Amino acid sequence: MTHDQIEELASLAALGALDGEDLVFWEETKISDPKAGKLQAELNDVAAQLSFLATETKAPDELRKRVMNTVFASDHDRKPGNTPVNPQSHLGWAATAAVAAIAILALVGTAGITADKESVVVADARPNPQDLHIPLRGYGDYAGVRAGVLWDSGQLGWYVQAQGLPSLPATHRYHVWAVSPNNQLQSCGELVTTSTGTARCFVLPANSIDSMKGFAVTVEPIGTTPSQPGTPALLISPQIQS
Amino acid sequence: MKENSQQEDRSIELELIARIARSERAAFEELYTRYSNILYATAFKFLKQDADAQDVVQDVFIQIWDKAKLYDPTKGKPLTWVLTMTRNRSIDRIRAIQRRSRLRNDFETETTVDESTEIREALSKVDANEKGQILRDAVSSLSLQQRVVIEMAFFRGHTQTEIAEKLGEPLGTIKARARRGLMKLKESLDEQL
Repeated sequence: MTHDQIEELASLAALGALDGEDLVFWEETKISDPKAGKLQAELNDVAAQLSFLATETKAPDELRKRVMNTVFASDHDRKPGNTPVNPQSHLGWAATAAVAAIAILALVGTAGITADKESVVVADARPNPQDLHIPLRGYGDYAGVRAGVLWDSGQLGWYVQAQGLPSLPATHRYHVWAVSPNNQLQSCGELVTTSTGTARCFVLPANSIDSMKGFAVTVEPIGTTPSQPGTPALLISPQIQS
Repeated sequence: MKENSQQEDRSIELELIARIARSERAAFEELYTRYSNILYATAFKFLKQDADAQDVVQDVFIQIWDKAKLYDPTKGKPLTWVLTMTRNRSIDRIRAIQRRSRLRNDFETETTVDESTEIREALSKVDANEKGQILRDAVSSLSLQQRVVIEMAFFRGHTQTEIAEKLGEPLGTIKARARRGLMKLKESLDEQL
């Protein structure tokens, strides 16, 4: 990767305009090259300065009281489910995290507000915020697999990724499933392994996925359309916060 | 001198974030005083509606209170963190409103009429604030093509693919313009701020 390419991706990331394969590639690059992350941080600061092109406007006085009242409401009032929910705000957090930084996210939907996909609740499931990956509940040979879910705010979908998956015989493939709150699995397609050893699947929150608590990966025979999944080999994002 | 002042500001803001992470209300109130105007102005620039802008600013401050312990200074200054949240929440809100009210096509049409409106309007203003004026001078030094790409990405929330499609230009061209524009801005601002 040339220096110019790094600057291109860092600039677009700082402007919040990276999408598709470039977004995934950039996140991987930042993991392997700390200088890339440093450059993006510097350009994030530059891009943020553009906000100062906005006309100076004083925030309304009543807003201060409103913010303080909301933030310092009792714990009970601010617990999830008790706070009045602005459905758009949840996706806002997702986009913020994805655009601002490396975001490996876990997902949990909330029943009742899932007709609009803007209201999908996204929670950061990393046990340590500095970690780049969510640890997997792996089994046997899968214990060393690293995987995560990356929200693409441009395409409004998720990249499910895994590295280190064991090779499969030619007769089988990996398959991704969305795990519903009651542990039912909904098919999200094949987890295709690339030449670099990364397995990746792009998932749009289609109507069939009303809510979920994570993604599962299974091994399925090639040439079949699995309606009943095999035993899940991996379950991504088992540590979900709501 | 300016550099010292900036470093002092950053130190104060880092300290405030650290105190907020320890749930110190006084620090939160001080941060509100420092940031509320620029956050509101930013949200209002995107949303054009007082009520929507207030909602976004409120959401952002709730996130600051809840997520201060997750703030990572290696990924940008505190102000960058909160401005990025404000921008992204504003764009999400616009997109959500558009979907719900089926106005997306209207907005799409509007954005293709004159993609440099936001920046052009901003540049026409005389800013009493020295920092704002320096920024305007820096942005003025960009080519129109670079400004258009930056505006479509930053102020309209378009992705690189969307920008390429809207402008009918190859994706590589859009990437190059974004890079040259932002790197030039960085150079100008590093020199003057």
